[in-house]
Amino acid sequence: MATKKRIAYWGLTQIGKTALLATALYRDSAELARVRRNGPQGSINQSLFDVFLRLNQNQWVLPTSADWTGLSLVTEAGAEIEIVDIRGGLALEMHSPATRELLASCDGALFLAEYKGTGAGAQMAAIEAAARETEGKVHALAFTKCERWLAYDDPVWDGGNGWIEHTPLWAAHSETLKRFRDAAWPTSSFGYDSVRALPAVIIGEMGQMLPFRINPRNVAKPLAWMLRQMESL
Amino acid sequence: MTRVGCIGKPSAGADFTVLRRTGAEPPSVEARARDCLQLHIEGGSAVSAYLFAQDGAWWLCRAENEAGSDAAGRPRSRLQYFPLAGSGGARLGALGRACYAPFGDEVEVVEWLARPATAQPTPASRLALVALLLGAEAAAVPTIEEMAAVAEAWGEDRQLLFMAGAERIPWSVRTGGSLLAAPAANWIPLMAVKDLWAGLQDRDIPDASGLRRAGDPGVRQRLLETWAATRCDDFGCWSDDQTTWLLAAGHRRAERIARATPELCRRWLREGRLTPTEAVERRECWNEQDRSALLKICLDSPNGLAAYSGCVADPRPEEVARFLSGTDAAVFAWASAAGGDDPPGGAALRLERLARTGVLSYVTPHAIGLACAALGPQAPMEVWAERMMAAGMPRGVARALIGEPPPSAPPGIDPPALAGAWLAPVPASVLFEQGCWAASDRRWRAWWTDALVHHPAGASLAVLPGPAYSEPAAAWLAGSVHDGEMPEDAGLRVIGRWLSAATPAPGACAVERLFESCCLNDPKLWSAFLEGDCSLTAESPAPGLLADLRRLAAAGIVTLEAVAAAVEAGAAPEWATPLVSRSAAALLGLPGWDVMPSAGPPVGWSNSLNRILSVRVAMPEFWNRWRGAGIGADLSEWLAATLRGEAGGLLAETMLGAHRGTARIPLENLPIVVGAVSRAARTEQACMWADAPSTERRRAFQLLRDGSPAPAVDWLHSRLAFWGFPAMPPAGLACRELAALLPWLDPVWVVQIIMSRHVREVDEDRLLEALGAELRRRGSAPSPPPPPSLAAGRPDWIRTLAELPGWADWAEPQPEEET
Repeated sequence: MATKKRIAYWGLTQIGKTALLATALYRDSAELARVRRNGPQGSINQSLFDVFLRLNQNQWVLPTSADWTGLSLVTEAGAEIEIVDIRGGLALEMHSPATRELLASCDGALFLAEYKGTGAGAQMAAIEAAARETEGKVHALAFTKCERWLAYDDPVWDGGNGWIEHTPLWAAHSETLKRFRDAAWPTSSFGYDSVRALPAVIIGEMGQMLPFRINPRNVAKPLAWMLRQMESL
Repeated sequence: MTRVGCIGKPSAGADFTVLRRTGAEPPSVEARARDCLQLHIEGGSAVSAYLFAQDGAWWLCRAENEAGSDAAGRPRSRLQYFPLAGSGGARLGALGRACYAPFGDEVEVVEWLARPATAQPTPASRLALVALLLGAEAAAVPTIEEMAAVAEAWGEDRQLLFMAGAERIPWSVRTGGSLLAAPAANWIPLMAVKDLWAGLQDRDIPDASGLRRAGDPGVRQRLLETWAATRCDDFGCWSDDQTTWLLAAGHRRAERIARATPELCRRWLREGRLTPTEAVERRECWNEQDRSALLKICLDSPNGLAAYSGCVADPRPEEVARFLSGTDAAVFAWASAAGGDDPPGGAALRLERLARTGVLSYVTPHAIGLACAALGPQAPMEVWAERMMAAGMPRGVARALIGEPPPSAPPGIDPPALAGAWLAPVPASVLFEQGCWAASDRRWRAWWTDALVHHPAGASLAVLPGPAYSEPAAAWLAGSVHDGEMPEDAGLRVIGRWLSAATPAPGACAVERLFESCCLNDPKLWSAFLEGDCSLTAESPAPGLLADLRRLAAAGIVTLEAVAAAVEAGAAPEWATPLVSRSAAALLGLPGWDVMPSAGPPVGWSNSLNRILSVRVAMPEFWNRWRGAGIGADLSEWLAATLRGEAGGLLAETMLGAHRGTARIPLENLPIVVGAVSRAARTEQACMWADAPSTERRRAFQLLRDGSPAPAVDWLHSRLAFWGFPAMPPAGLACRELAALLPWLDPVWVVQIIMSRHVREVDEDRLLEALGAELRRRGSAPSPPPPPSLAAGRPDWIRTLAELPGWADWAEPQPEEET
């Protein structure tokens, strides 16, 4: 029996990591159609499914307090892969032996960054530090919340390999982004309203963005790519 | 005061972080606290509380939502925590309080523990317990008290996570069990849980903690179904832990105990799962290591001592003492310690009371013996006897040892194997007397002798067989000989020693019994003989009696003097046969006259035999054995010397004189001794009787001629008794005969006869002297000198005869005659 592979799900706090994972897994997508989401005991990941339900009910995603949550998947080829959903705060704790040990236990890392979010430098620094810690392993990068900055028909959504290098937005971090030349995707857990082609959000009374009739876009590609890479290891 | 830790978001855009530490929490506690905060976020309530154990300590957490939201627009929340000690109920009381009482920066833990939750089992708590046992990740009960009931049943060795205040069961609860106390918790147990719970009919699950340890949830389900009798019970399918739980649940308990392996039984015993009665049922399982556990379960039982003794073959006194109390325990301890110290007050009475309860059976006979000995005259000997009987001593024996009449015969069972000073309170004399009955049985004789050796006063007791007769010793002797432990002759030697002792002497009956035990052929005869009540028979004794006499003499019981006296008194001399040497026996003609005695004095003669010899010499058969050659000079002299002064001494002296030719045998003695008179001596005796009156002379000559040829006597008889010319003397007369017959012979003829003989005789000198005197007296005409060849053989004769008047020619050399 093949050894269980682990993928670090890595990014700063409040950039939509959990939402991306929930929409990728529980919204029907061709890329992950044959991936079984059942855990060892045959039950679906209730916590993550609850997140997906909340998003569909136009509710905010619950914050994560636990250091990490494991999510077991089985690919079509039978490879057992665990997604280690790491609390965002740990991305800033690379000095911690526990964090380094957690990273070292993974066979690849799916990094996440909020597209044009505040603190882009901090995000890239955190990704660079973790990438160096896992040098030689499979790396991929997913930009979240892209619907906030990209128009529905922005060419970036269709960008091929190397698109990231031509995006002026991230020119300052080209050295870090070179690592993900062929493995970087813009994603949106909320997506765009299918009628108006506007982000599927509404503004709450405190000015915060709340999901509204979500229509996730590109959410399955990063995870599907990582699963294939893990299968090939 | 205890510092309270806190996890929360320092700002809207920050992640959860530890805002404040207690200073005592390890990293693992922080991780558990974060998990609890996650549960709070998912639980949907504004405030919730958590209680968990980590690294050996309990921690109480309180999570609450904060005002405002984070950068993503979500409510902010935080969690506070601090370590908590106390009992399970107190901790759960604090958990319930934490739902409505906020924490400060510091808390007084004692105050939080002041209101413990009381366990209240309800159907809801039992349902939750069943769910957790069957592997549910979480279960919910309405109240903290019901949560306490579940926790109490669950046990603390593997702690649950306790939650209170959540509106629903969070998705993030981990496998291993979380228990939520929330009235409105939306908890729906699995159908399997509800089915099983219904099958249990709302009974309390016994030893839920043990059930949890008995296996995985599947096993627990099967066990619960078995207990609920909804499932077939296969004894062989359960592991030890599972069987143990079924035992605790009381399911077919007796059968389960009966089938359990010894190892499992010992485990149950150590865990206190068995009752004393059950422990007795499986007593074959226990060993030395189980004593303390057995004692523990029996001490709390009303009949614990009996049960303990049923489990342990030999309860130790110190163990038994734990079942007693107060003075009873003190007296028991004193008695079991063999009465080492001064006895407690009223020890005798207390011992009697303890004996009635049977507890003294746990004191060794050795200790009881010493304890009773220490009490001296106050010793409760009845108690002692009862204890000995409990140790296997037959009642009759035990009672005899305390002074009651002894048993009529040894018990038909083996004596008990008692050791030590169990006999200490029994007087030595009483013990010694027991030999009267004990010695007749091999087993009990050994018991008795061993008891004598080990008795504290053993040094004062006679070492068997003892120097003097006693009834016990006699019984011991009889038994030992009867069983072959002592040779019969050795037994006779012992009897001989007793009989020779000054006191006390056994009576005739006792002696007869002793002789009978030593297998004498006629014990009655010999006992009477020793008593002087009868003598030996005049008839020749039977071989068996002679064998008896030989053994008795060898043992020193019967002496030769006694037998000789009996013979002298009329008993047959053959009685002495076994007592004399072969040479002496031959001389005495014992057992018959057909044995020729030695020519010389007998070897190994005892003067005690003189009396018998006196009797024997008066019998012709004694002398007839020398018929022909006659008795020898040495023996004749020995007889005369030996019998000098005895009844037969005169006869022996007469025989010696006859032998020497100096005395005439009286006529009345001649028939007795004539057989031992030699031919020459008969001739001399005939010559001595020649001048006797004719009647006596004829009688003497007749006697001298009887039995053996006596030509000289016949010739002399014809000379003296008949008229006419005398015939020529018979040829071949010896010198001694010629000397005796010389008055009736021609001396010259005698000279010529002697000088013609080529062989000299020892008595020729005596004959020559007599001839010289006779020739001088008679003045007989000399004989012509013999030829030189004859003269050369007796030159002394030539010289002596030549000196006679007219015999000078004998001095001249004579020419040899022509042939």
